[in-house]
Amino acid sequence: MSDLSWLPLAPVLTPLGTGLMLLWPWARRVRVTLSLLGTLATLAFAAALLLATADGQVLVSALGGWPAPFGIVMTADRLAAWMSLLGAVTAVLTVWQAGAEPDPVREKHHLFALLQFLFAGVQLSFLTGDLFNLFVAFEVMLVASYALAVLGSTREGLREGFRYIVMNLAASALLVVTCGLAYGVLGTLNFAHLAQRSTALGPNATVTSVGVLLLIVFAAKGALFPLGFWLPGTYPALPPAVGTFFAAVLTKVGVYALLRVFTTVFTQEAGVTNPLLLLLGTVTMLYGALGAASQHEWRRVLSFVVISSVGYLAFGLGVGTPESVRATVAYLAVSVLVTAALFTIAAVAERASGTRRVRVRGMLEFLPLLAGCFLLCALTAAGLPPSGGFLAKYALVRAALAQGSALAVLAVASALLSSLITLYALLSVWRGFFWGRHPAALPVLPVSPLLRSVAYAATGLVAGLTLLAGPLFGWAQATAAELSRPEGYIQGVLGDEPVVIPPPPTEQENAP
Amino acid sequence: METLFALLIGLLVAAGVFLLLSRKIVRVVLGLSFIAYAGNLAILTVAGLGEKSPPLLTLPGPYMDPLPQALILTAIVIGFATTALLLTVALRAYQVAGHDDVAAFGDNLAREPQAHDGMTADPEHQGPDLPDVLQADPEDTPPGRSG
Repeated sequence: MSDLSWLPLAPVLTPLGTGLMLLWPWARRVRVTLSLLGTLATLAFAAALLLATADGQVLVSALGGWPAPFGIVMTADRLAAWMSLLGAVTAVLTVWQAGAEPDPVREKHHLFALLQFLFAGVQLSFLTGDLFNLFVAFEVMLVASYALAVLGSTREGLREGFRYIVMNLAASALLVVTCGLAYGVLGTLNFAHLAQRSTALGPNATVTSVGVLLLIVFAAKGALFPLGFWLPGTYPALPPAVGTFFAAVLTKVGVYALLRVFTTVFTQEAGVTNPLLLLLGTVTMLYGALGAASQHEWRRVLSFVVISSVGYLAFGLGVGTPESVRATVAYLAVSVLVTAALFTIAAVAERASGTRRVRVRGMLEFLPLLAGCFLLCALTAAGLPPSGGFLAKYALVRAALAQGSALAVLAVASALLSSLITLYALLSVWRGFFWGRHPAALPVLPVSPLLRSVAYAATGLVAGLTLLAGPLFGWAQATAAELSRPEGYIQGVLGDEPVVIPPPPTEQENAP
Repeated sequence: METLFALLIGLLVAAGVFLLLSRKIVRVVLGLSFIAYAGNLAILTVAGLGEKSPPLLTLPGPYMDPLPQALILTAIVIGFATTALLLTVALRAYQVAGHDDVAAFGDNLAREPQAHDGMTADPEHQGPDLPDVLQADPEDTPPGRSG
């Protein structure tokens, strides 16, 4: 136990250290190499975490040696390690893509260092075991993302960045208040201790309202329907590599927080929060799919596909059975990887045609392999066989039908309809960009093989999901089983002894 | 005491939301600060307002709970950084456009000060009877709008 207690800190400290090193004005080649090495080291640590938590043990590292409920702890259970790995894989792809596309202005202003700080914030939000520290992690992640959103000062970037910043600051203010309320009601902020105390308290209206407030905050961060209005404008305005990471991972951080809070911490009144999540998911799926069908620019279409996928995750979480949580954990992996792959493909397509718009026609003869990659990713995102997306969505729908409430059946209808509309939207992209005869008037620009290789590698990962669906679902099953028993997490963090709050010091002890 | 604080928090949030909905960028920043202050006061109130000693072990007890104060300190530091960043973005928008209105961001949904008639809300779709053509964002409006 103690020999591995440093491990949950490693994926956070590695990108942080790399980011600090990148602030020195090295040559570009050194910067790219350093960034890549940093993300690969993070990936290695995340994989080690995954192996260490595979037998169901919860790794805890107490910062400053303070034991769990009193100090801040970093914890890694199966879910946290899983998310950390997904974040690290996407980080490698992002740095690879950023390295393949020279952007002198943004790189002069520390694009690579900011990316590493962003990775550090994301890993910290996955691995922290404390509600207030989750807020701090969100802020580390968001401040880096604010800077990346407005870097370069294009008018569009400033506008969308400003909207994104204001939206997220309002959500963060609500999160701070909610932390205060949670502390006021339960007298602690550690996840495990919160779970223990809310279980001891039983169903309680105040605790449930804290849970609903958290749901609102994380819905804003994860871009669920009424609060996701900023996303389709913001993501296309980002530089391509940064957009890849934002789309693949940042919304999933909100989903992870929802998963953590409603499976581990506030489990007492699931009858209130689950239908709410189910309803939000139902609307979000359809909204994202319809939005994707209405757009004519590469990354605008894909941004709406991201929103739709968040809706599926909320739907799986809202069904609230172990089977649906298993499907949600599996779909998380599919969603992260397929989003990353689609955005890298979009970067190549935009570069090759010199425009953001989809209707270029006839690029199939110039980019045949990319067309194949896009088709596989489109099938995965829409959830058609033989892709991993189909397996995950099938599991989601089955779990919802097994639960069988009226709202769940409605959500299933929405899920199937949204899948069809998403398929239509992505096939429209295929028809507009790859199919047909290429007009001679339009240029076809050369794309560096390095940039194309990122898209191929990301698609390879998506294909790997299909081939390794068995182990993936096995892992998801184990994770869901662990999440349905919060006692294991609580015991792993707080130990077997009941937590004793020491009495306040008396007069005699204070006498100087 | 709690009632007074609750009223104060409500007033701060109301003022913050009012400013947040303004068309002036600096007012938006101020509104967010107000909301953050309201949040800090809320943490203080929820943790319990009492007549106890400050948490210094040289003083006689019983002591106040130090943790909410630590939370508020952290929130203030983070709020300071984010406000500075937001002001930088606002300044940059002002340099780009020459006025301090959300129209500085060139959002067509905003009322452009020098908009000619027929300005579409969505540059991508010209209208039902016009073909979709690629159109760049309307470029910088000349400075000259005041107030």
